Amino acid sequence: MALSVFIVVAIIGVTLAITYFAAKRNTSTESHYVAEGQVGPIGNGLAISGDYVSAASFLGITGMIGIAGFSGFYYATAVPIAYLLVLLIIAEPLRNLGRFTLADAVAARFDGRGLRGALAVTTIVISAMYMVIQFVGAGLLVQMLLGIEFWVAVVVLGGLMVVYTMFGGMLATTWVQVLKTGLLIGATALLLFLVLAKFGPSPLQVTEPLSGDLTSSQPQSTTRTLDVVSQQLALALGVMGLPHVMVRFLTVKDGPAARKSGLVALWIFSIFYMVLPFIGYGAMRALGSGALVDAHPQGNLAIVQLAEYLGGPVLEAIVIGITLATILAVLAGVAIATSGAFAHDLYTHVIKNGKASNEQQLKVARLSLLGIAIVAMVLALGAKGFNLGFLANVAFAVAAGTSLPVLVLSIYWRGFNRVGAVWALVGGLGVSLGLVMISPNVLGPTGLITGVDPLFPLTIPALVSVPAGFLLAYIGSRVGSSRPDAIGTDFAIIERRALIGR
Amino acid sequence: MSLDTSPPTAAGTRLTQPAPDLDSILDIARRRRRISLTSAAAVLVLFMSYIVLTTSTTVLSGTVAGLGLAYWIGFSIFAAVLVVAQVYIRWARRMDVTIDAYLAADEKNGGR
Repeated sequence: MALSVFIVVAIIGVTLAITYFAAKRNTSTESHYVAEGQVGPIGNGLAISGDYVSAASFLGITGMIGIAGFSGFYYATAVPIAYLLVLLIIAEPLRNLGRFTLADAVAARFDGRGLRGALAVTTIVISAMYMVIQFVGAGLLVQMLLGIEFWVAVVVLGGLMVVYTMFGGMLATTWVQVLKTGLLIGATALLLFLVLAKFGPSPLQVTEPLSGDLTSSQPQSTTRTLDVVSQQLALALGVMGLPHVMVRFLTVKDGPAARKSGLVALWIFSIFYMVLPFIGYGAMRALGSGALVDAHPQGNLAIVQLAEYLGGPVLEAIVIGITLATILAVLAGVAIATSGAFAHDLYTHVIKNGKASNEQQLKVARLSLLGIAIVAMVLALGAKGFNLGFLANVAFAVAAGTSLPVLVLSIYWRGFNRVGAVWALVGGLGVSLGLVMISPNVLGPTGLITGVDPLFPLTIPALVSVPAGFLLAYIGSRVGSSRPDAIGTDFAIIERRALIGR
Repeated sequence: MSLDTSPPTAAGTRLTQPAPDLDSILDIARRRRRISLTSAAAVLVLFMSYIVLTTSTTVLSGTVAGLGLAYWIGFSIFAAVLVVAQVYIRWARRMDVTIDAYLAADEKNGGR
């Protein structure tokens, strides 16, 4: 335990030193929101992968594979696909059209306060869900690993998140993310090496003695099949609407750099998620599924248990330290994107109608980080008993059903207009959250209100909410087609800027 | 109107040709957009088919060399993703050369 605390403190010390140096350069809105667009493509690729490769992946996927076998792999499969879609569809046009936030990219086509305000609110809703997930997961993890009270862990992590982002801005957030990605890749490589040394040397020798039922896919019920399909659709498409991931494409200098960042991230994802199953099966063979479930019902501590089994308390402490660094880095990334939506979109453009000075905007951005942290921590303290997987799926489904249609259609569809954008945002959010409210997550024996049967059978709404978001965008655009004020900037200009950056 | 996106040769033969005009640049960019979007749709359909096959059929339930066939196919999809991404990036880089030539000429003319 003392060793774990020492390593955690050492990693936090390094991240605070990074923040100290970054703070000297964090003097403008440009540096605060997007690191002045000066992040290199490789660093940005590492940061993009760091934003997605969270504790949920590192702990959750290995744990689920260690307990249930192949079904845990579903949480990994969609990630490389999601980022390929980002690369092919949105990375370069977004960099060419955007400035600080997702709303900037849409505002390049449709100005006006209403739509920008709706986009900012959507960003804040998605980010709030994401932050609560990270806080609750981190709090529970720290409680289990270091024996610290849940609320103390949440407050300490929240405090660190505020320090990184308030003083260091996007630059510190990016460097912390790069450091964390490096540590995580190193730890994963070391664990794989030790698993192969113990059960290999070939990866196939790790799985060979296990039953075929554990290493292969098995047909599911119709509802479960639709749920998995819906979840995979949310994961594959939702990334394109996740503000904290997409804003990273604004931290590089141009479209080609955005492209290269996406490619670097894709390589990391593909290798990382290809390796995780073998570590999960290594944990299954080393400790047995029963021991993994005893430590945590969803197997979230499997990788920590495996580290202790293979490398003793030193490796266990290193894995715990890296896991906490992972959580802190993801929290900081989400917070900085949320502060952009709050200070740049809501305060500067909606409340001040674009008339706030850079100094005022920077001050509000920094103060908003404190407010965001307090709200997220309070929500996290109240959501301790929530199903985190459910919250994560809802966040992705909301992103895929709201921001995604608006971003994609703003870039690619000539017939899209402001009315369609508002319909997609407001309607998509309503459909996503409405379906969740009548799903088995809320109603029925597995929900919050028992005694009432769920009206919608799926736990993840994306299968309905994503087509609904696009359909609402289409219908809204048809309804608003006769309104000249809904057309926005000439599509030829947007197309030219999106395609060639000029 | 040429859609050639090949970079200039070492001998600089293409440097002697006039810089492409905006319409031909946009034509190339639109063609790239069509192929990007078509590739994205194809990849998504392929991936969702994989998910449907693994969750609702026994087609991928077998084991090969101690590892489930569904894993092998899943890893193959990861590899395919990397191949598509590399091809896309290489192709886009070639287009950058053409765009850069246009932008350089545009700047030389004081912008249009």
